[in-house]
Amino acid sequence: MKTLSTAMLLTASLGLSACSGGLFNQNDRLGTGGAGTGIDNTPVTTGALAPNSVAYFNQTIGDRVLFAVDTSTLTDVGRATLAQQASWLNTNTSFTAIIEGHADEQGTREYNLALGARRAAAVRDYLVSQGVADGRMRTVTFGKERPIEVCSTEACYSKNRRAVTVIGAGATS
Amino acid sequence: MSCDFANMTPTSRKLPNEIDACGGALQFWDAVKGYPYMKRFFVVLTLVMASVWASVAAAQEPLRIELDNPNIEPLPFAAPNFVAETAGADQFAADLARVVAADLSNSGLFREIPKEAFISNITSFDSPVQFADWKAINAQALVTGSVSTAGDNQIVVKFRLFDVFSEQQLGEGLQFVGSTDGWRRMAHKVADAVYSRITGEGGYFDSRVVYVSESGPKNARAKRIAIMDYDGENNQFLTTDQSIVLAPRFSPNGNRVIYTSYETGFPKIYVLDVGTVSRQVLQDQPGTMSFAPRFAPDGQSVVYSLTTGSNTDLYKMSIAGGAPAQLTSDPTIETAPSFSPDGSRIVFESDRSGTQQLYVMGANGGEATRISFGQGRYGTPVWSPRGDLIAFTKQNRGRFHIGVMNTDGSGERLLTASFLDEGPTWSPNGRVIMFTRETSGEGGSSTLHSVDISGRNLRAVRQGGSDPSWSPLLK
Amino acid sequence: MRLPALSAALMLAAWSGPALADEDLSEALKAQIVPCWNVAALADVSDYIWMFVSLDLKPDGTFGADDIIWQENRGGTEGEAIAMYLTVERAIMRCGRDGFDLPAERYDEWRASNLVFVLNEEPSK
Repeated sequence: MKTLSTAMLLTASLGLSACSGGLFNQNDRLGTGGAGTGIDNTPVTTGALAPNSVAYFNQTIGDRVLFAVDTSTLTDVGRATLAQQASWLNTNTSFTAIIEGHADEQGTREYNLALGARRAAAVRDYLVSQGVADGRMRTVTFGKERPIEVCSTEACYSKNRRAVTVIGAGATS
Repeated sequence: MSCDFANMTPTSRKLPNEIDACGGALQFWDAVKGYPYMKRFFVVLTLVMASVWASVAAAQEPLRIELDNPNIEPLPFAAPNFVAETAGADQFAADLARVVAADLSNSGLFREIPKEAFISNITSFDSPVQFADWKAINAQALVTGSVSTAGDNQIVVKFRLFDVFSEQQLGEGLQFVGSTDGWRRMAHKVADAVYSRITGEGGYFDSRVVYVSESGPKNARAKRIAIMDYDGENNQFLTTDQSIVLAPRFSPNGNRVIYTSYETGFPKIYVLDVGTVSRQVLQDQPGTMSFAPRFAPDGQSVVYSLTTGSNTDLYKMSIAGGAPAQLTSDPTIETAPSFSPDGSRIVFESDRSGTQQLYVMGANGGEATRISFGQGRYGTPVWSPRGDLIAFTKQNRGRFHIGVMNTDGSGERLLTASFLDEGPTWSPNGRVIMFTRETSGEGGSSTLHSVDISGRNLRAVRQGGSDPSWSPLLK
Repeated sequence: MRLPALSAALMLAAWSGPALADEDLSEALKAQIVPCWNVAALADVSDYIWMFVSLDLKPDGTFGADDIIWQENRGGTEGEAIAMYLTVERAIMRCGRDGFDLPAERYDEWRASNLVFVLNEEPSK
């Protein structure tokens, strides 16, 4: 099965944090066969995602979970996503992950850093509970420094209160 | 910066006649005169006796009035161009007067009388002042000065301050010697002396601010540590914009800056030497993140937040390295620590009660006392340099405020309100607070603002800036 | 800057006698000083400062700089007290630069005046 590198397009459409780009090799892959399970708004029009691809992880499973205001408690939806993330990580054992915790802008800088750390840790702890080795993951908080949405209403805030599992290759440092 | 101010001590809380002499750089040159108030006290004692005697003899009580409704209007002052005493000093003569006037006006406590209104000018620094000319334009204070150039790009600046209506000089004249590059600092020093003699408080103009310079869109904002004079001039960058940098803080002597950087991809604390712009990582415990650092008043240790897993606690470590000491061990968020000026206590924020609130504990940890009890959430506490107040960020009903409270939590006063105000820092004299104000929406941006602790005189200081930290008065 | 305790006590004794002066006379003098009393220099001071000065006037309502005498003060730091005195002195000097306008026939009643200036509310005990 040949793979095409469409990392640029995919990461752009998903608005992945640019900060993580330099840390891990985001060698997203696009499968050329199988059932079409890509999400609707992907700009890639041909083919479907290979289940072992990072693009599949990012888009089909979902690389992020969202949180309510000032909490780091996983929602039911979040746990379902993380269960699939764990399953993917348990299948694709050569990959590592950095889990980024983020907060919306409605908070002070320091508190939001600590809150982002809690969110990232909540995800990491859940993945560990699902059998993913602790040593394959690292957490980082960005507080409110890297919002993905820029408006100042709940519509944006709800998407900014997130923890993103960023897949990379190789051992964690 | 190569001003020859090395021996000058901060002038905070000086009486008008008590300006520290400073070997070589700062000199009194006026003859030592009797302290004006001392002269009066001899009169006081004799007149008290006389008035007791007179009231008994004449059975006539003095007329008594009580006034408790003062006006609060900026004090009108005149700052004519300094007298250029050598060829080539003309530009300095005008620039010095301009910056002195701007400093005083910025404080909100003074109002400059425009030069067009002047009836006469100061053409000789040592000639007697024609007070009638300054009374006629209602100047209550008059700042006169002279400047001369000397060898090796040096200038000599002298000034005097007069109370126009009492026709008295306030304090002795002062002289500063410095390099031509440092002329702004000499103007700030003059303004500090004027401010101090009229308000009875130390000044704050000869100071710098380290902050985060911001550019670019909200979701990919570039941040650099930068340093500027308190008034936004002389801006210099200390880091590149390659990694996110946050919340720089000055060391007590202003020589070093401690800040958080994502240089490695993870938040870590760095110490930067302002003079050489060299930096080193302070804290690099594997698998942890550290942020919110602040120096102890002795400059030898640093208190900061360290996150292990989901938990953020406070730690202290020596600037020279060595093992960190853990100050808190709660499963909750403990961050934004700030020392009391005597170094004995630390104020910080914690959500151990369920919401962000302020707590005070000893400098080595231990039992903490909650001091904030109002509505809403409280964060980023900073102890005032005078030790009497704590400034903080308050979040309530979707608005952010900068406020101050007594160190026991009483007497809370909110000074500002906006979509997002945060991160107060104190002026060296404890009278002004600078902070970050961020506007909302897609085009939202950060601006440094300042406000007096009375809540008056809100001003924008610099666009595209956040996380200010005010230096002590420069030496 | 503090006065010796004995003289302070004497001054209080001199100052706190029954007020015989005509209230209208007090109001007249007060009205002439208050427009010039500007405490902007103390705008950031929230402490209570109480300052008592005496003012000796000539029959034409004028006075010299030495006729304004700092008698007593309470509250504030030493620096704030001095700054407060400067605001008081400036107020009297500015508004009285041409002499105060008071009825000449009652000169005995206003030749010696005690002026009390109060900044901020006295903290409740």
